[in-house]
Amino acid sequence: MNTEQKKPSSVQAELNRLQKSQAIYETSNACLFNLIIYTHEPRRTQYFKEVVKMIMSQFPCRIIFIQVNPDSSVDYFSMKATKEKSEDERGIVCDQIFIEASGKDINKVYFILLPLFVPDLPIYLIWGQDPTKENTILPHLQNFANRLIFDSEATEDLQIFSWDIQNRINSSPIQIIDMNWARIGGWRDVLAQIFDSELRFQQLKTAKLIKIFYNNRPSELFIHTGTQAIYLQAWLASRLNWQFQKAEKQNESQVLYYEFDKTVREIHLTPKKDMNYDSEEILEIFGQGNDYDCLLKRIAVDQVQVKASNQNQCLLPFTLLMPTLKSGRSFMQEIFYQKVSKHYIEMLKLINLVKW
Amino acid sequence: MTETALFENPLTESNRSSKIAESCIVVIFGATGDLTARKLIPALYNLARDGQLPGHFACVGFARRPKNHDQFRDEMLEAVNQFSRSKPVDQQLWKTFREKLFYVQSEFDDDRGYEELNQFLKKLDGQLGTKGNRVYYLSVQPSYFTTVVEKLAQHQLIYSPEQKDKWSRIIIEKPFGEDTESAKKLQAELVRHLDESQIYRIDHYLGKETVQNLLVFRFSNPIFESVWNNRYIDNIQISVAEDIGIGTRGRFWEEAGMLRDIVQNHMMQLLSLVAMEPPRNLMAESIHDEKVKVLESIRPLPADKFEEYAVRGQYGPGYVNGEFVKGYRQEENVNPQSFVETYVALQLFIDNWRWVDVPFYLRAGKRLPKKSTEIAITFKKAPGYLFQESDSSIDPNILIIRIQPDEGISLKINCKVPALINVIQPVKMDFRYGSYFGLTPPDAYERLICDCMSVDKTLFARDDEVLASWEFLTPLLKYWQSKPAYEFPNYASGTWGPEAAEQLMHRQGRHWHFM
Repeated sequence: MNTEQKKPSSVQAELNRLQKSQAIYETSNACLFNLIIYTHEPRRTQYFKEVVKMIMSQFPCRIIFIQVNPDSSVDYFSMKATKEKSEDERGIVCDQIFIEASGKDINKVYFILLPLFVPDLPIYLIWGQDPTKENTILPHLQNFANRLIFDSEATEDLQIFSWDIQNRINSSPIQIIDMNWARIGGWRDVLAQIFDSELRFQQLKTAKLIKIFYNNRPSELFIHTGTQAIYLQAWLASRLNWQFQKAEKQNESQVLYYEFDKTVREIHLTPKKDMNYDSEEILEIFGQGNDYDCLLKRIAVDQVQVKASNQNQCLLPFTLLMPTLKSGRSFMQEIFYQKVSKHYIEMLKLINLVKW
Repeated sequence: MTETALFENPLTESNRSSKIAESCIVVIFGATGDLTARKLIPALYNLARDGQLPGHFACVGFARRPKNHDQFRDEMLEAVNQFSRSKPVDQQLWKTFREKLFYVQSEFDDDRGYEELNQFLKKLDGQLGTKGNRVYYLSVQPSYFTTVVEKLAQHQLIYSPEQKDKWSRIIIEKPFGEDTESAKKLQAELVRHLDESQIYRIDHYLGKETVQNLLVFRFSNPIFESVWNNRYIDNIQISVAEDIGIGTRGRFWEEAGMLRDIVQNHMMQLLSLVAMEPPRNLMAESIHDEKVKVLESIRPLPADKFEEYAVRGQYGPGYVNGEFVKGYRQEENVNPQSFVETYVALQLFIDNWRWVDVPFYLRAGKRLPKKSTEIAITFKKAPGYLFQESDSSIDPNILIIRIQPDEGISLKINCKVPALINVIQPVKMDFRYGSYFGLTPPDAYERLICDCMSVDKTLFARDDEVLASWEFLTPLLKYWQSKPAYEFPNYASGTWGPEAAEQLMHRQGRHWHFM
């Protein structure tokens, strides 16, 4: 249902025309929020188009896709409007507006956006680029966003990114969300379900070694394959109240040393290649203490098998589900509905401490 | 006593969306019955599918029919294939889920069966890490409730609520008694062995998303709450219409009737949610307190005027959805001279400052033209002097909350028709869940079972709520029992009920909201 390029003033008329057209006459034009997605690179645009499909299946919204080429000196501006129908039988339709700009025409973008928002509904901004790099548009866009969603995948320096995010959280009333934090939601839930008693939590807290294996399968969409593993280990260490000592590289692994109860605890982040899963996904977690060990192994896209034993008991292996990844629902809820997580803020403080 | 979760896990964050239940074993008494196949196992399967089931979990069926674990698992696979809201069954998930299903065969009063159950559960605790936590779901006839609870207590399968390292809870299905006296007796027998904090009375209506939305709708939208009272509301109608008959439940229905099966529980719950005051917080006890206040404020029906306030009906043959259907008295296991009601209409008043003089009309019936549950709030009409020159009549505003199907909310308002003269036309502003929220919502049982495992009693009925609704309805029940309904059947299947129900409204100058 792509249309020709339109002038900004005629976008709403075009959307109204499409709504009345036969193809989508029977559909319901619901809208929960306005979603702006901003990117530079084609690689990131492609990634976010996949994210948009997931969003559309669950949340009818108006999507404004902005792709800017800051490296070009050619002045260029184009705009298109379309209505996309969800793939299931419910017939939900989302307005999609595509804006491309380069050169001096980049400065138009902010002004063009203002009349495009569906009034009275929240405005969410997914900033698909590195927020630590200077950008003339972000300060304007974030003024009317209710939620700012960043993706640490886009940053070159995770340490600086974490400082930047902390500053934003401390200085801004709007919700600041990190997509990579949402991506590890499934693993956080799994760990919470396994270590769900005082005894089990203590076993984890006194572990001497934790190994996290992540997928460094090459991918066009992901450059930093270790970010989710970094996040998960920092979250875990902050929940266990481990004190950071140092980090170093050992062969291919990143090793982090923590201290708790006068004992050194190590967390190893080790890459592995697995073509069955997406790049950056966490594949396995192994934990070992004085009298306890457990292995959490990914056996399907959304399933983790757990094997645990201690001196007195060897539990039957069991499988847990991680709905975050399969349906995207928990991921979406974290991105669009949850407030800034206190756990996330604590995690960032640990990430601050390492030059990754 | 209020039960709270035993361990605050530093790995979980409160108020996040995922409610993960505590490790436990769910034992279903009467596991070979219809409810287990249609609702309970599909609910557990979908909880597993959504990652809401605890990692350390098992489900044990306990029933009379002989079968082994694998036979039970195979039957449950068929049930999930047929009744789950998510299809097809995820084979990989089922492979692991079925390993958590087990079966123990026993009569409900056999001590050996309970001993075997006890040993088996302890073994599962060791293998699966379920920590001794238990949910006992009593999917059995009410006459077995006390037997099962006594046996559980006798065999130390129920723990004291003071016990810190493990917990036990009971879920019981309606009906909770047949009248005030039997409800009190049942309660007295239960609390001999259990604390109220351990008793979860299920009313599956409370697990529906649209019913849960009632509180959010009322108390997060001041525009509605400010007019939610007798200054602005003319009447409130709560309707539960079913197009199906009693099916194969003739024996049950002959003992129960519509008043017991639907009105005493589902409708009184809806009434209390619609009429309650804002709770002081969202804790279960606060909400229950406000609901009980409503139920205890219902004006008793005048003993000499039951006929003016209550109508009963029984469906005769007719046509539903174009098909001929038989009458109630022709159904299987029904007395051909039966006086049991399949339709009830009531007018009642709530004597408090908010609702004085606002009639509440409740109707519930089988073999009506369509399946629909809704709450219709009719507001008082605007003073008509401004538009009396025009030929149009001004309709009252009506807020409709559709509980099922086509879940949503609509508001009828008046608008001017584009024209050179003033013509007023009512129009509807409509919100539909299906259009806005892409997900298939969890089934009511999923929510309720998960809540029980998470020690959340908000969506379960408290003992005083149950007793208050019986106190109100029992005099009417006894009156009807004493007076055979010679006029039965008094409505044809496929119509909206007996003429007397229409008269109930017409006498007040009102009519039933057309669904």
